[in-house]
Formats: sequence, structure tokens, C-alpha cells
Amino acid sequence: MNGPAQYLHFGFILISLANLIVIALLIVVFMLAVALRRPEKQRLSTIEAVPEPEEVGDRDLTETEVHA
Amino acid sequence: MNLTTGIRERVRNWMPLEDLLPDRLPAFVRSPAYFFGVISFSSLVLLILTGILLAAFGPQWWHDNAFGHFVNSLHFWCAELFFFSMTLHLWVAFYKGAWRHGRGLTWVSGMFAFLAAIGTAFTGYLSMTNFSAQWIAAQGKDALNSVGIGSFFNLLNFGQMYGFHIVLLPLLLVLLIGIHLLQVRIRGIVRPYAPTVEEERAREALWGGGRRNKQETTPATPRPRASDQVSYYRGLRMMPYDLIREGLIALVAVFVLGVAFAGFLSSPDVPPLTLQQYAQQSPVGFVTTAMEELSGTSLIAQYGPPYNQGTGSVQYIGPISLQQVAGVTIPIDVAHVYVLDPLAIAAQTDPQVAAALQTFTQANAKQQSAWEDAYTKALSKATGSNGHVVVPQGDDGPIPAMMDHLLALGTSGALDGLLLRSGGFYQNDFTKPLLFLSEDALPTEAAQFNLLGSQWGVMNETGNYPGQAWLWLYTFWYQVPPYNTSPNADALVLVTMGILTALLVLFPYLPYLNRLPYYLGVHRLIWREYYRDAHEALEARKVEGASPGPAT
Repeated sequence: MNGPAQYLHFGFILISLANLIVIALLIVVFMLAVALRRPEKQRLSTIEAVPEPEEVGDRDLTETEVHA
Repeated sequence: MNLTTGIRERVRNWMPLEDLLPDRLPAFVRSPAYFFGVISFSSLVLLILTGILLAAFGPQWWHDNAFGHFVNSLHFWCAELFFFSMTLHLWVAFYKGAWRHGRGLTWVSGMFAFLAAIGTAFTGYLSMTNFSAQWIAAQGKDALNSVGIGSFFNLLNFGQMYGFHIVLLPLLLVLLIGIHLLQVRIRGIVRPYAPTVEEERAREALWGGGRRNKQETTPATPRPRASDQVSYYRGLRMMPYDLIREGLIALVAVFVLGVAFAGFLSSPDVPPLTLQQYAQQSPVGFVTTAMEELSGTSLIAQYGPPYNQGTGSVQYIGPISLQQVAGVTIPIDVAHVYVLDPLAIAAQTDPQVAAALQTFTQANAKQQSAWEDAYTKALSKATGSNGHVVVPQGDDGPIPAMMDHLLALGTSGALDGLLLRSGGFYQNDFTKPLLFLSEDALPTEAAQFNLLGSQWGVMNETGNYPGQAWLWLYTFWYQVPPYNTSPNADALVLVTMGILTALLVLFPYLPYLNRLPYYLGVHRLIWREYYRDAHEALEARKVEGASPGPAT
């Protein structure tokens, strides 16, 4: 690893292979994180009952509520 | 009035333990995109632990000891993982519009933590006591000098940078991350964007903390507290969550990953350049640089503040030079510092040196200049090897004898010791030797590692290791017009980056622009189940004959 570094040259961009790998990994991991989920069956079994609006106050919350 | 009771009750209301350490979180946090924060924190914990070990044994330990080198490698890779996960955390927070609903300070504190992390990492690279550290210091000094702060944050002063890296900046970083975490836990994680723009605006009006129209606020509908998570998450599906377990799993995962990287890939460590090496390996270059210092024609001799009154490297922002405003705060008389003073010390025990020095100092300026010119011309035909230089004879008075003795001081290593400053608050100030090396030796070596400014400089690392890739935007400006041709490039790049950084930090408060993530639409992927459920809920109401409009 301490040997001569490999560099890639695109126009005015001169980037080391190591830095390019890091940047590519950043993009790949981000895309995976957005795409992946925990298993669906786990999701259904772990979600608890939704608190009813009356239980938590009667503030004027204008929003679409998501019920199971 | 009992102040203690009052403060306790306020704190209890402001940050109840149930919010600080919740065991239930909204179901929309199921995405792995939510893991990056905890991975960053785990990396920071390991960075601190390995940093304590490295600090305890001193900066030389990891160069000489196999275990020390491994600990340094672990520290290095944890820093890479820290920035890797923190960058992803920043991206995710941006696309989620994580500053919404009164969470502007959460974003601002996170951004300040990110900036503090960059400073901590930068001083860490300066503290590596290897070639990379020397080169980053020599390059970075120009940027700080160009805006007049080069003497307050002297990158060439190892002691100061080391002190900043192991004490001041980590304390600041931990404090900022602590504030950021408190902000996250007190207010909770931001809800997904509402399915419609109108609903989102209503939520922002309710939770955003900004001014509302009088019509919107009535005594019957008081504004809820920003920390009222029960109200904030009303209507959302919740799920059991174990934050501590998740943190421990992340800590183990980062440790395993760090150990694997450290074990298989080690860490960069090209030995530092010394004046002794320079004199031994390139005697002609050493003497040429010394002559430039003696005759006042070197880069540093003409540099300007903070070293002298020259104008060679003075930079301007418009009509103003902050560099000149700051003035000469690290005075360096190059002829004396690099040539006459070291020879004066040698003259105390060497009559030949004393005689040559006396001849030179007693001559008038015109004669000195004539000798210097003659010797400099002869140097172009000089040959050198093994720490000796052979210069054709000429009418150069005592200069050859002076240079021979200076070269001897260089090859023996004595000059390294003479130029090292240890009298200030911070020990081991390498300003003088590094400035001398930055004239010729450092750039020559740096070019071989693709570290020059035109080669994206400080972003790169020696060998095949990743460098400070997070500085890509900073180094980018140096490659494009007008920066790459401007004599004020450093100052202009710093001003540009300052403006862009301020915009990013204050992004939550930029009207219209702060809605950008909503229109980019990445949040619809991150929270796709939420929107699917919201859609199903609306459809269900339609079937039941209820109004498809917003539920109350």
C-alpha cells in the first residue's frame, strides 16, 4: 500500500484510485441504504397499536394519519 | 422560590428520560438510512479510544512499535469510517429535510460538528510526523496566511497542531456532537414530508417555531412544545426499538471493520524529510537553497507576512489584504536564520568558519552581493555527491567556505536541531526547517506522490491510501478558472468555501431553497412504506364514504 499510487486522469480531474473507490462506495452504500429494508415479516410483528388521537391530546394537528 | 426545584422541573419537562432513551420509535425509521448517525458515533468512540492510546505513548511510538503502528492504523481507518458514515448521515438528513418542524438547530449543530470534525482530522494529518504531514503543513500554511490567521494557527508548528488535535478540537467535537444528539432526542426524529404540500405547510406552521398569522393562533389551539414527541408523532405507527443495543452492535461492527482494514491494509507512513537527508542526498540543491536565503532571493525571503515585509506571496480579497493587516507575527530573517546564525555558532569552535564569516560580515553590501552573484552562477555548474559539493572557482570571496561549513552542519544533522524551536508554549515548532525544505525539497518529493496543488494536493495521501476525500470541493476550486490562474487563489478559495459553508450551515433558514429536498423526491424512497400506508388510509376513507381530505 505504501508503493506508487495509481491515479486516474479525466481532463482537469486527477484522482487517486483509493479516493475514487471511497467516493464510489459512498454512492453505492447510500443507494443500498435507501433501497433496502428490514424483512417485511419482522415489520408486521413488531409494529404496535397506534395511539388514538384522544389519548394524546386534542391539538389541532392537520395531517393525514397513518393507521395500521 | 426554590431555584433547584425550578431548574429540575424545567429540565424534566424539557428532556424527559423517555425521550432521551426511548424504547419505541416511529415505524418510518426502519430504513438503514437511519443507521449512519449511530455508525458515526461508534466510529468516534473508537477514534477517541485509539487516540488516547496514541497520545499516551507519544507521537513517535507508532513509528517504532508494531502494536503502536496497528493502533495508528485502527485510528486512521476509524477516521475514514467516521467521515464515510458522517457524509452519508449528512446526505440522508438533507434529503429528509431533517431541519423541518423546528429542528433547525439540530441541523446547525450537526453541521458545526462536521466542520469541527474536518478541523480535527486536518490537525490529525498534521500530527502524523511523516512526509504527508510535512507537505500538508507546507501547502496549507499559504491558505491560512492569505487571510491573516497563519500565525494563530501555525500549521508548521507541530506542537500547536498536536495540542489542537488531541485536546482542544476533540473536546469541541464531543461537545458539539453531544448538543446535536440532545437536539435529536429532545425533539425526536423529523416526520416524513406530509403527502401533500398543504399538509406539510400546516405542520410547519404548527411545529416550525416561526411566526404564525394571528388567525392561525388562538388560545384554543396553543402551539405545542417542540419537545412534545407524543403529540408530534400522533397518528403514526410506532415500533419497539432498542437504541443501546443498536449502538453496541454498530460499535462492534465498526471495530471489526476497523481491525480488518488496519490488519490487512495498515496505514500510510512515508518517513519525514529532514535537513540532514536533504543535505546528504541533494547537496547542490541544499546549497542553492541556502544561497537564495543568504541573498534574499528565495520564496520565503520575499514571502511577506507573517514572516517578513516582502510582497511575493501577499494575497488580496478585492482591495484588502488581510495578510498585510495581520502583519509580521512570525519574523524570520532568512539570511540570519538559515546561514549566518548557524555559522556563528559553528564559528565558536572552528576558526576557519569564524574567519570566513568575519570576512563576509565586514564587507559592504555591494561586495557581499557581488560574491553571492558569482557563487550563484558557479553553482549552476556544480556537482555534488555524498554530502559534498564541488563548485568551479570564481571571485566569490568567503562564500565557498561558508557554504561548505553550512553543508557540513546540514549533513551532520546539527542544522535540524539548531532550527527547531522549543522555547514557546508549544514545543517542537518546525516552522523554520519546514520553510527551508518547502523551497525545493518538499515540492520535489511531493510531485512524485501526486500531492502538488495542481494534482489536488491535500486531498491525496501518500501510497495507495485514501486521503481527505471530504476536502474535494476545497481542492476543486484550485483546478478551475479564475482560481487556478489568480495570484490570490488561496484567499479567494477560502472566501468561496466560507460562503458555501455558511449557506450549508444556514440551509434550514434559506427561504424557498430549504424546500429543495421535497422536490428532489429522494424522501419518497426512504419513506416509501409511510406513503404507501398514507395512500391506503386515504383510499380506505374513500371507500367508507368519508372525506378524502386531511384527517383531523
